[in-house]
Amino acid sequence: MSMAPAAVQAGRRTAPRPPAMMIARRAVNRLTLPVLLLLPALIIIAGLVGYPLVRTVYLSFTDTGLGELIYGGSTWVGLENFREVFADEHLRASLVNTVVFGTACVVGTMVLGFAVALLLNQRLKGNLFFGVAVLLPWAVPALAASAIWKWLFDARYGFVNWALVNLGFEGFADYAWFAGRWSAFVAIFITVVWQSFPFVALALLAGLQTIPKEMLQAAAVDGAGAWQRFRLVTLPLLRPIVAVLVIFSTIWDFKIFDQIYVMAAGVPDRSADTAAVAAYREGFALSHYGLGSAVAVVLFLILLAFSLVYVKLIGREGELG
Amino acid sequence: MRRFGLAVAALLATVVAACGGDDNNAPADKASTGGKLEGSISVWIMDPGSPKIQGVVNQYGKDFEAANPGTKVDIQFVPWAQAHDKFVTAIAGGKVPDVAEMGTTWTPEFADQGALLEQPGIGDGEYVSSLVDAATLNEKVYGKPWYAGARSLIYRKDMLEKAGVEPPKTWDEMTAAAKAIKEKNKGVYPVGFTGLSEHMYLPTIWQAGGEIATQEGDTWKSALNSPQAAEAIDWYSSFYKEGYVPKAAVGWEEPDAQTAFINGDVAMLIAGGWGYNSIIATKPELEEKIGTALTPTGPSGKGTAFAGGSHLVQFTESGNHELGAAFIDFMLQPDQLNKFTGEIGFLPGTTAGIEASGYLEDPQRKPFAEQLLKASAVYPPSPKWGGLEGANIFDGQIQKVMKGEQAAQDAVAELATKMDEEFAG
Amino acid sequence: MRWVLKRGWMYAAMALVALFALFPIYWIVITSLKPRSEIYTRTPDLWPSDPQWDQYPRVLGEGHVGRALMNSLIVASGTMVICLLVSAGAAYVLARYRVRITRILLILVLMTQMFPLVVLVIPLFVTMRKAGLLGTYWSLIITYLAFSVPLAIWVMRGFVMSIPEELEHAARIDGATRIGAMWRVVLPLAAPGLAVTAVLSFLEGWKEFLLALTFINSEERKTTPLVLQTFVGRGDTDWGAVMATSVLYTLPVAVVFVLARKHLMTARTAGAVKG
Repeated sequence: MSMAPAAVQAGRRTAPRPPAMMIARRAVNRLTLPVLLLLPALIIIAGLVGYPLVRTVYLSFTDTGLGELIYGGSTWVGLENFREVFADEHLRASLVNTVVFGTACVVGTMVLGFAVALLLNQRLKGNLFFGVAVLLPWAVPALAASAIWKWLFDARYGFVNWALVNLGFEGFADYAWFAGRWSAFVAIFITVVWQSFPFVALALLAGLQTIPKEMLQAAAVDGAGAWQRFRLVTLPLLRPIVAVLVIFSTIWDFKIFDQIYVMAAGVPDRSADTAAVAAYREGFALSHYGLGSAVAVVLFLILLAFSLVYVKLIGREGELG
Repeated sequence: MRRFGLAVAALLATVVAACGGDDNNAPADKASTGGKLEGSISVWIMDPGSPKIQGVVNQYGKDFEAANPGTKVDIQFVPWAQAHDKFVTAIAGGKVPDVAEMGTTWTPEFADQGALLEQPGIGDGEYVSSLVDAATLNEKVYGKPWYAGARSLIYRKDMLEKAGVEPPKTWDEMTAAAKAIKEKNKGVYPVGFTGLSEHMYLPTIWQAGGEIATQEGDTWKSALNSPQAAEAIDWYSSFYKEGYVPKAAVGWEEPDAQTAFINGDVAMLIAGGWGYNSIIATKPELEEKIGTALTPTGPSGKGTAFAGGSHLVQFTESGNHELGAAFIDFMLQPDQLNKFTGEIGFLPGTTAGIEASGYLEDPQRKPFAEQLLKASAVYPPSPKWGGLEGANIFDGQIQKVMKGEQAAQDAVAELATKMDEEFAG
Repeated sequence: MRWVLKRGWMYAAMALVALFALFPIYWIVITSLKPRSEIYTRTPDLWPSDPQWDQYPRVLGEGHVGRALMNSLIVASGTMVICLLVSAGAAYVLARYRVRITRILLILVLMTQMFPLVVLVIPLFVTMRKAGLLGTYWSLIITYLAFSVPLAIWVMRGFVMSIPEELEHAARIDGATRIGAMWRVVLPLAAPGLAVTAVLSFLEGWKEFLLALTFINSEERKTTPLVLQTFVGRGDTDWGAVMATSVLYTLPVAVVFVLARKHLMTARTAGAVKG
């Protein structure tokens, strides 16, 4: 923690040993504003998501099927579902896919988003046109985006194979991207990055623009090159916003559902499924709601671990709390 | 023990013999005894994928309201891909519609949970019987067949002619035809057998003389671990292994195969009347070049195809059973029925409807009708079947066999184990 | 010369990224203009030989896309406005009052986002049924808030923290209340962050599909993603209609991007004091 809030410090300094009533009243006064400002957000979040979360965790310890879901009366099975998550080859593979593929997507999105934000910050000619262009994929509906990309990667009628063949890569004639796990992941990776980099770019650009020019100029005067200025001035100042983006990108990309569901359906043996898709298949499709919830809880624990590590990393630098 | 995979041989005779006027009396009776209809119902219909066909369904609501003043029918379209989940949510969440269209393989699943109302007055020979079987759980019927269809063979006449072959009638002829087409038509793949189309590959097990599952008392047991099933999957996959099917088809669903057929990249396709309609709608000039025939017969001498379609169901929690029943019967009147089925390329689920459809007189569409009536069967109406289907448990093993990564016998054995796990749990 | 080389490299990168971003969208546009039989071709058709515009009147008329866009607009704007109101204050508090409990709250807020939506659908449906909100715009707005407010709080908090507190103190010495300082000093400086959050929460409501599918029970209230899905039938998808609807659906957002481009991409100088 870098510094205590000014208000708190001031309060401590100005009132040596006031009567108990005064302390209490002052505490109430001091707390009224923050509590009032926080309350609506917390009520919305807790009121809506609280029950579903608790229920999902509870279900993960039961043998709930469709009947139990409707009429209740499920049996407590302890850790049985979790044992199965790790024993089942397909579920285990889906967790590995989630972590590996999700991480790749986060890295890809952040790198491209950062590059675009830096480019936009250069104020080149045509800057605003470029800015609007890169924002557009964000506005495309998920169904259309997944369908279009699946189509662009189609073996026979896809633009990608056609372009590759015309560039001299004859091996891509009728190349079936979705017939293998890794090639399917490449295609889906591109789709995910395409849909999520605009937000990252926009947020980072907003962050870049709050960096005082004087600091960069001062660094330049001191003889720092472009890369050093980026590393020593820009990056540290952007750390809070980068942290937020990394944390949320991780959460989104690890929960990835739509693109995998649409595009990876044909990958042999469903070997490209991720945890969210697996949770869906066990739950809604096969009516193993207990097991499906257990997959979701494991995904939650993975995400929590990742987030705590991130928070710890930035917390050490003093930006969080 | 009850057997499935039976052809519905007797039905064609029934259709021919039945006299149109009587058929819709029985279901209508119940509604008319209830006196004046009133109140409102909500109806969920699977999205037909076209605003034009939505219009037909919406018109049902308007016409019914006009015929029964004081009633209100609120129709909502639900996308097929998410319909099952929406039903689960509605049932578990305690707010169901009054009437709904339901995929035939889901009816037993929801009936088993007590969510669906038993449908009385299902007379013998009045409906397509395989679809009545699909709606039957413990001797009770929970849905009225609305429309039905079975896949047959669709082929490019010109490509077969060029190869000098007749439309195949048996498995062996199909293999031979594929070989000839491949040799004579450069760049064309003879067959559109895909990895993600269980309605293409599971019926080959019936054609080989096997069964998919058999009922033992209250529960079902997989019959996939059999030489017939292995032979069927072997035959199905052989086309892929021989290069008679595009490489990417291992990850294709049925619409992908259809697209390839429309583009002249595939010469033979297993598809239903709805697929035929869609092909013609996309490329009208193909109508002249396309032939249709019954699904080729396997070693057992049968060319059984899967009879799919929809039921109309009512929910137990619905507040207006009487109005719901009346609306279902209204939709099932032969002339109403055909307005809809004619558009989507399925056959009506009632025998009177089929008769009124004119399918049996149309040479191009007749095979689809005959396939359904003479050579079709339904999957085991187990409450667990919808789940097996929804989770696509079969595709993975078939894909492995197609890619040569697993022997067919091992694949069906593994599938049998997986099925039995689900049937038991 | 070195300058030209360096800039040239940047322009090349810009063109490349723009191509990557726009090509699929271009593909959507031309597909919406192709007759049905020409949609799939072996050699890609980069411009339809005979553009057909009739998809557009068709989806707007029979497809009721206009009504759906209006529904989406109501839901998305509602989500955006409330999200900004609710999370701006919360973000401010969590940025300025750095005590142990803020840290815990931040993590708790984050934790609510870590479950895949599919497992939450049924209990959310039950909640909405009990609240008597099923089928209403509110059912969607409230639920979307639960998923956009946490992110908005985190993002805006990052921006508020980058604004020097000295500026606020200065304002307060001049007699402003804490709220007044927040309103007059912090808010304008956090504008880029606010803009990002606004776009983000708007698009959450504009694009969401699964919850809308679950809660909405009438044709009149269907949002655009639901109508888009109606063109996907059982084994027969009306791609022309899907693409035309997607264009109509992306267009308003694109217009807003164009109109607001300066606000989204131009700086307020907050740093003058900080250096």
